[in-house]
Amino acid sequence: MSQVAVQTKNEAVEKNRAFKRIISKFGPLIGLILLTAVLTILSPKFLTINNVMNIARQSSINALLAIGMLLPILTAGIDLSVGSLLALSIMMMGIVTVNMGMHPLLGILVCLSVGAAFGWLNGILLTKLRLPHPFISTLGTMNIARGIALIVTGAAPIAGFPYMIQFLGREFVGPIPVSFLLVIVVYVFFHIFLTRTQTGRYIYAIGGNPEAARLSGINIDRVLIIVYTISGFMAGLAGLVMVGRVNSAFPLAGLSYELDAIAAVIIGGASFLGGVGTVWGTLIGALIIAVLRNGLNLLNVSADFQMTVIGAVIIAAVFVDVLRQRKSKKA
Amino acid sequence: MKKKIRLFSVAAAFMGMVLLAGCNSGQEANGGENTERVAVVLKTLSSPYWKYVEAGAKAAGKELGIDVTVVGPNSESEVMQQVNMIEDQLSQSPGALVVSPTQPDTVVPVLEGANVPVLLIDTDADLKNKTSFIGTENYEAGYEGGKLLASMLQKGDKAAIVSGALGNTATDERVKGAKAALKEAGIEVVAEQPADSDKTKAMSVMENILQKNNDIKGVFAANDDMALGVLRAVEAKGLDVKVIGTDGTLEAVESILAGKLAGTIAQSPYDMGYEGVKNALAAIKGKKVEKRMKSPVEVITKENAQEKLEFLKKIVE
Amino acid sequence: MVGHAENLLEMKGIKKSFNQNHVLKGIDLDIKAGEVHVLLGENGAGKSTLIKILTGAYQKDAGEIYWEGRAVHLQTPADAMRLGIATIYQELNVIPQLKVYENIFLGRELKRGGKMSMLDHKTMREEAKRCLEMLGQSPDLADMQLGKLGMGQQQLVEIAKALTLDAKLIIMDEPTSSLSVQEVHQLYKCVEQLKEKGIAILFISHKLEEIKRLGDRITILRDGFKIETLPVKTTDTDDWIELMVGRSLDEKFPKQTFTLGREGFRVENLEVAGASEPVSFRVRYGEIVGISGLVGAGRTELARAIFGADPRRNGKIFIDGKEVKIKSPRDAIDAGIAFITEDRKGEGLLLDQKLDFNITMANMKKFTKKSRLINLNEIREEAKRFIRELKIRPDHIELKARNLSGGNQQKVVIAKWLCTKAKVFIFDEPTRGIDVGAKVEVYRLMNQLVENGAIVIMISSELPEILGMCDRVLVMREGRITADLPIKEATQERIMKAATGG
Repeated sequence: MSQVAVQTKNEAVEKNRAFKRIISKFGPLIGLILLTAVLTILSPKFLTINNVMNIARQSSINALLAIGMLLPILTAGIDLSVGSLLALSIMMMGIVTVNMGMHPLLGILVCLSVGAAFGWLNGILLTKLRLPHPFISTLGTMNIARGIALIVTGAAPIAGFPYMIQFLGREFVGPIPVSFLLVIVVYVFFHIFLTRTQTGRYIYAIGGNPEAARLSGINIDRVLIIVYTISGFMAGLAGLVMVGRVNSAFPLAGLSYELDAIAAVIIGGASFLGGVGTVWGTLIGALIIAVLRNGLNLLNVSADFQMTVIGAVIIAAVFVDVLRQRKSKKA
Repeated sequence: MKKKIRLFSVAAAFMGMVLLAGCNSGQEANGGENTERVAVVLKTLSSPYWKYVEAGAKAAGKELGIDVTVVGPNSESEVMQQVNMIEDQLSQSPGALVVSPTQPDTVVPVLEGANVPVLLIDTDADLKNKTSFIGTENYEAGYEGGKLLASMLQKGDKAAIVSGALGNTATDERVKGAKAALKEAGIEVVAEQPADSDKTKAMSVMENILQKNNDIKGVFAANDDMALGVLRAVEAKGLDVKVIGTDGTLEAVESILAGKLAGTIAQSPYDMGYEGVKNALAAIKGKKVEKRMKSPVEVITKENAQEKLEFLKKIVE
Repeated sequence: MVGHAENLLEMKGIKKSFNQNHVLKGIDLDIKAGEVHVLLGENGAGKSTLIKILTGAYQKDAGEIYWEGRAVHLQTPADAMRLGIATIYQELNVIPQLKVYENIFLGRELKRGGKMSMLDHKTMREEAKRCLEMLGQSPDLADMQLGKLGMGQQQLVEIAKALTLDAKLIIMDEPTSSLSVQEVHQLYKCVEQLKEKGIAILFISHKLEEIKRLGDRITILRDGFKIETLPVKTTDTDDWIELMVGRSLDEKFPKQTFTLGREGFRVENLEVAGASEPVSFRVRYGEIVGISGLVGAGRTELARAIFGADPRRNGKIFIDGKEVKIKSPRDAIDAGIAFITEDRKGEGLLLDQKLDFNITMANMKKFTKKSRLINLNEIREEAKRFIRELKIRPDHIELKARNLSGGNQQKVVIAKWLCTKAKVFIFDEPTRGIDVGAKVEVYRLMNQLVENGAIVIMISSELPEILGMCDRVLVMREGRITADLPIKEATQERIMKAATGG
C-alpha cells in the first residue's frame, strides 16, 4: 500500500476520533441544553432570571458535594459518608456558635475541619487499616457521623446562626447568589487541581490503573488520604452553604445527599471504574439534576414522580456513555 | 448499528413519555386562567395524614372556585427539598402560600422574603410575616388523650408514654398534656421513651418497657403509628393494656372498630387543609384573618369510630 | 455458489469495517479437517477481527462462510459453538474457585432430570475425565480446584472443554505466550493428538519456531488482505516475514557489540521470596544481560524486589559502586532504575489516558513549576519528542493508549521510562505479544540505551531472543541463579539444563 493511501486513511480515522471526542466531551452539556429547551417550552416561568437564579442556588449544595465526590470516584472509590458529614459538621458549628456563643469564624473553622477530619479518617481506614473497599469504610463513617450528629443535641435542631455564617448561603451579588459564585470558584480551583498539579494527575492515574501508578512511583496511600480528606472538607463547605440557606442546623440534614452527589458525577460522564471524569462534566451533572427538580416542581409534578424521572436520567446518561465506549473500543 | 439505534429510540421514547406525563399532571392542576391561585407545600404527600390535608385543600379550591396546587417532598426527612419547593412555588407568584414546615426554622429565611400572604398549618414556625397559623393545640390533644386513658383505668394504675423524636415540638406538647391529665387522675407514669413516630420502632420500644414493667395497664402514644406498634408488642405478650393514640388515621380508626386500639385523639387534617386554603383566599382579598386558629380535636372510641371511618374513607376518594 | 466439500471451513471474500476503518478487505481462508492451520500477521493485520467473525462475536460486512460445504450464518457465539467451533483465548475464561470438571461444564451443567432438577455430578466428572485422558492428562485432574493449576494446565482444561462440546475446529490464540517451556511441550503434544483425531486447529502465533514445528499450512495476512497461503514444511521463515511485513527485515536480531566498561550495577545477597539462597549478580557498561529460566523461576520476582515493588528483607543494590536504598518504586525511580513490566496493560499503561500523560507519568516532578502547577506545554513537547524518536504510531499525543497496537503500547511504556532519565533498565518479556517489526525496533532501542551508557537487563522466556541480543545470560531456577554464561558459551541445551536442573 502506498504512503499516501495510508495517510488519508489515518486522516479519516482522525476525523472520526475528533468527532467522538466532541460527543464524549459535550454529551452531558448537550443533554442539559435539550432539557432546558424542553422545560422552556413547557413552562413560561422556567427561563426567567428569578428562576435561573433559583436553580443556581438550589444546585449549589449538591454541586459542592459532587465535586468532592468526583475525587474518590476518579480513584475507582466512593464516599458514602458526605451526607452524614454535612450534618455532623453543621451540628458542631451550631453548638460552637449558637449554643456556646463563640465567634462565627471559629464556627466556620469547626464546620470545615470536622468534615475534613472525618474525610481523613475515611482515608486512613482505607489505606492504613486496609479495609477492602471505600464502600465499607465510608458506610461505617456514614453511620458513625449521623449517629453523633443525632446524639450531640439529642436530635434537636439548632437555629439562629450569626450573619457571617449565613453569608455564603444567603446573600446575593446583584442577582447572583453568593453560593453559586462559590461553586464557580471551587470548580475552577478543582479544575486546576486535577489537570495542572502532580497530585491531580496521580488521582487519574490511580483510578486508571493502580498497579501501573504504583510502579510509576506514585505513593497511592498518600493520594487516597488526600482524596478522602478533600471529599470530607467539601461536605463541611456544603453544610456551611446549607446553614446559610435555612438558618438552622438539624441532625437529619443531608440525608441521602451522597446519592445525589454520586448521580451528578455519573451523569457528568465519570466512570465508576475510575480514571475517567471531569470537573465540568460534574458541574453539568449537578445542574441537570437541579434543572430537572426545579422544572418538574414548576410543572407541579409530584415528588414521587420526580424520583422516577431522575432515576431514568441516571440510567440513560450511563447507557449513552456505555454505547460510546463500546464504539471506541471496537474501533 | 441498527440495534443501537433501536435501543436509542426506545430510551428517547421513554424519556419523552416521562416528560409528557409530567406536563399533563401539571396542566391538570393549572386549570383556570383568571382565577386566584393558592400554592400549598406540605411536609410530604406520602402518608395518609397528609393525604387528608391535601384532600381538604383541594376540596376548598373546588368549592371556592380557585386554583389550588398541593405539593410536598417524598418524605418528611427531605427538608431541603421542601425549601426548594417553596422557592419554586414562590417564583410562580401565587396569590398566597400555605405551608406546613417540616423543620420550622428551615423555612424562615425563604418565607421571610415572600411578598404574598403566608399561612402555616399543622406546624408553627417563628415567622414574623405569617398571616396565620392553623393547627391543633397539641397540649390540648395530649390532655384529652391522657383523660381518655385515665377514664379506662383505676386510680393508682401504672401507665407508659411513647413519645416522638427528640426535639419534635408537636409530639413533645402532646406528651406534656397527657402527663398532666394522667397526674390529675392519679395514674402513675412509670416509663417514657421516644420511638420517633415510627411503628416498628415503637414496637421494640414497648417490648423493652414491658420487660421491666409487666404490670402496666395503659399506654399513651404521641401518634397513631406508634400506638399501633405498641399494640402489636402488647398483643404478642397477650396482655390487656389500653393503648391510646393521637392523629385519628384510618388504620387507627379501623383498629378501634376491631376492638384493639382503645381510642385516639383525632386531629382534623382535612379541616386544616380546607381552612388553610379558605383563609388564604380571604387574605388575598384583603379580609382580616385571625393570627391563630385552633383546629379542633375529637375523641374517638368504639362508639363513634364507625362514623369517623366513613368520613375518612369519603375524603380519600 | 457452494463451498468445496473437502474443506471443513471455507471463508470467502470476508470484509469488515468499523466506521470508516476497513479492517478486513476481502479475506479467503480454508481449513481442512485434521490440519493445523497457522494465521500469521503483524498486529493490526486483521487476525483477531477475522477470528471474532468466525466465532460469531462480530458480524461480517460481506463475504461467505461455508461449514462442511454448506453456507452458514454466524450471528452469535452460540451459533459457532453449535457448529463445533471452539476458541481458546489468551486470557482464559475460567473460574478459579471451581473444580476442573465444574469449569468444563460451566453454563451447561448436566442435570439428572428436568430443568429444575439436581446436577448430575457423576456424569460430568466422568465425561471430563474422558476428555482429559484424550489430551494425555491424568484423569485425577478433574477433581482439582482449577485455581491451583498452572497456566498451561488451565489451558488444557479449556481444550478439554472444547472436546466435550464435540468441537471440530479449535481456534488457539497465542496459546503458548504465557506458558513455561514444559507446559509448551505438553501443549504441542496435545495439539498433535487432536490432529490425529481429525480435529482442525486454527493456530495464531508470533513464534516462528513453533509454527515450523506444528503447522501444516500458513496463511499470512497484512493490512486486512490475505497475502498468501503456503505449506509450512517447504517454505522458509524468512519468506513468511517478508510477506508479513511487506519488506525484508535485515535481521531478526540487530545485535551490536560495544566495548565492555566498568561495573555499573550490582545486586548482593538479595532474597527473593521462597528462594533457598540469596541472589547476587553484576552488570557492566556496554553489555546486555539476559535472565532466562522457566516460568515461575523467580525472575519477575527478582526484578520486582530490586525495584521495590514487593517488600524484601535484605540484600544490597549498588549503582556505580554506591549503595542505593530502595523501599518503594519511588526510591527505585529516584535512584535511576526503570522497570518495563511484562504486563503492559495491567502494570504499565493508563489505557484511558492520552499518550503525553502516560509518557510523563513517572517523572511529574520534572514538569512541576515553582507555583506547584504543571507545565502542560513542556509535557506535550517532551511527549512529542519521544513519539518522534521512538516512531510511535499513530503519532498523536491526543490519542488514548488504548487505541495503540501492542508494539506501540510497548514503546509508550519505554518512553515513560526514558523520560525518567533512568540509568538502569530492566525489561521483563519486552517483546511478548508484539509483532516482528516492532520487536526489532525494541531491540534497536536496547542497543541505543547501551550505547548511550545505560545498563540493560532483559528477562525473557524466548531463548532465541536471549541468544540473539544478550552478551551474557543468567539462568534462574527456584529463585536462585544457577548459571552465569557469556553468550559464546551459552547454548539452548546448557541454558535448559541450568533452568530445569536436569
